[in-house]
Parts: sequence; C-alpha cells; structure tokens
Amino acid sequence: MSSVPPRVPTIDDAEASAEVGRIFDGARELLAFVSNFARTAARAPALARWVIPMIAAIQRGGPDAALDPRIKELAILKTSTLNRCFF
Amino acid sequence: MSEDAGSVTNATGTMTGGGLGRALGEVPRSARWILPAAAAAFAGTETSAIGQRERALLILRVASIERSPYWRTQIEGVAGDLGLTEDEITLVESDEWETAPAFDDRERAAILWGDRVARRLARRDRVAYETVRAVFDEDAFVELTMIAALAAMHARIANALRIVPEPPTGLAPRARPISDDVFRTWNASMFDDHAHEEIAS
Repeated sequence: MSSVPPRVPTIDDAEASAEVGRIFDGARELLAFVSNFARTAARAPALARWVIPMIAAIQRGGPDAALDPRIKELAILKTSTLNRCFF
Repeated sequence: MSEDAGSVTNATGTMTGGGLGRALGEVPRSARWILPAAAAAFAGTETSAIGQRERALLILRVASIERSPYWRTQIEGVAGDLGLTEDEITLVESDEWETAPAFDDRERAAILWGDRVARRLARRDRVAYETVRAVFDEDAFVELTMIAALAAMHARIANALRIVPEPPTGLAPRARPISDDVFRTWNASMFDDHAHEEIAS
C-alpha cells in the first residue's frame, strides 16, 4: 500500500462543476463508482470524458473482446507491477 | 478490415490517426474511445491549458524516451505551424534541452515532466514536480500528466505493432486545436443505432 500523499486533491461530488458532474455520472454508469483516478483526471475534463470510458472499454471489454477476461487481468496485473503502480 | 473497423477509422477525417487508426480499427469497441482520447490529448481541445508548442515538445520527449519514431515524423510535418525548428526538435531528443535557451520555462517544464513520466520517475521526483508546478497550476499539471501518459501508451502501441510512421495525420499537435463540434460528430457517428448494430453483429 502506498504512503505517498497525492499530488493533486481529488474533486468531491459537492464541488464538481456541471461538466465534471456529467463525467462522474458517466463513470458511475460504466464502473458503478467514481474512482479516485476519475476524480483526479476530471481536473482536465476535456480529456477525462474520453479517457474514463476508454479505460472501461479496455478493462471490461465487451461481447466482441478477443481476450479471455483472465488473460486480460493477468496482462493488466503484470503491466501494473512493472510500472510499480499499486492502484 | 471489417465493416465495423472501417466505421471507426472513417468516422471523421480529423481523428483517424492514420496507421494507428487502422490498427485500432481491429478492436472497434476500444478504438472508438482510444482515438478521441488520443486526439484530445495530442491535437488539443478548445479548453486546453497546455500550449501547442508545449504539447509538441512534451510528446517529442516522451517519444524519444520510448524510442518511437512515430511522433518525430508526425511533428516534423507540422513543425512550421507550431513555430518549432528542426534544431529544436533535435534538442528535445538530446540531453541539451535542460539548458538550451531555445525553450522558455513552461516549455522546459513540459519536456521535463514528459521525461519523468516516460521514465517512470514521476511518482518520486520531488524536484521535477516542484519545477513543473511552479509554472503549471493543478489542473494544467493533471492535463500535462495525462498527455504524457497517453503519449507513452501511443508510442508503445506503435512500437509493439510496428506501425509504420506516415505523414502527419489528425493526431498531431496543430495550430488550431480540435473543436467540440468534431468530437460531437465523432460521438454521434460512433454511437448511433447503425454503428451499434455494426459493432454488435
């Protein structure tokens, strides 16, 4: 677990602008919650509105996914480990 | 190329990404998000806090660390519009950028942060962080970091798939960023009923 404090504060629901609120609503639809990644990325909303569903599409896939979910999880885990990311 | 892959790559001429767009057309569900994310990061948006020269320099440094020839080709083709010289492009790829008078403080900070993100040193490098934050506010710092990370992702896709560099396409930084209307057109064409049926079939 990381003990390094975040460099940028996350955006709470209460302080979200209308644009950021729409991004959070979309994140809840896609992933059932708003991650701290999304709450940080939303500081650049013009990017976040594409990046958050991009991550959902890559991680969750769909009926046309070429990769078995287990293979996908293993690839994500290995990449995260190599990048020293514990998110 | 399948019909749905063609739908992704042909949706709009401003966001196809050339070789990258064609390669990603083979995974249309992901590509319809990856391409606009890349376009917003690399070509810029109307609300971006990052200047186009800063953006191009950051991407060049990331590409240099990632040993990806893709972006040099892309940015060389639009360098004149961005006010970038061939010497400056070469400087970014060398170690001379840190002291070169060719760049101002924000440009040097953008290159520095791209370097640290690409080298996976950004998490711990306090001096680099403080240097960057001295000239970019919190929101711009988040945008800068996301551009660098997406540039690294793009370089790795291009390298792993051996995508052949091509003349500049819609993903290159440009003098005028992509407008909201272009993104709306992309959204409509990717998620209308016809596109949904194509991808689902």
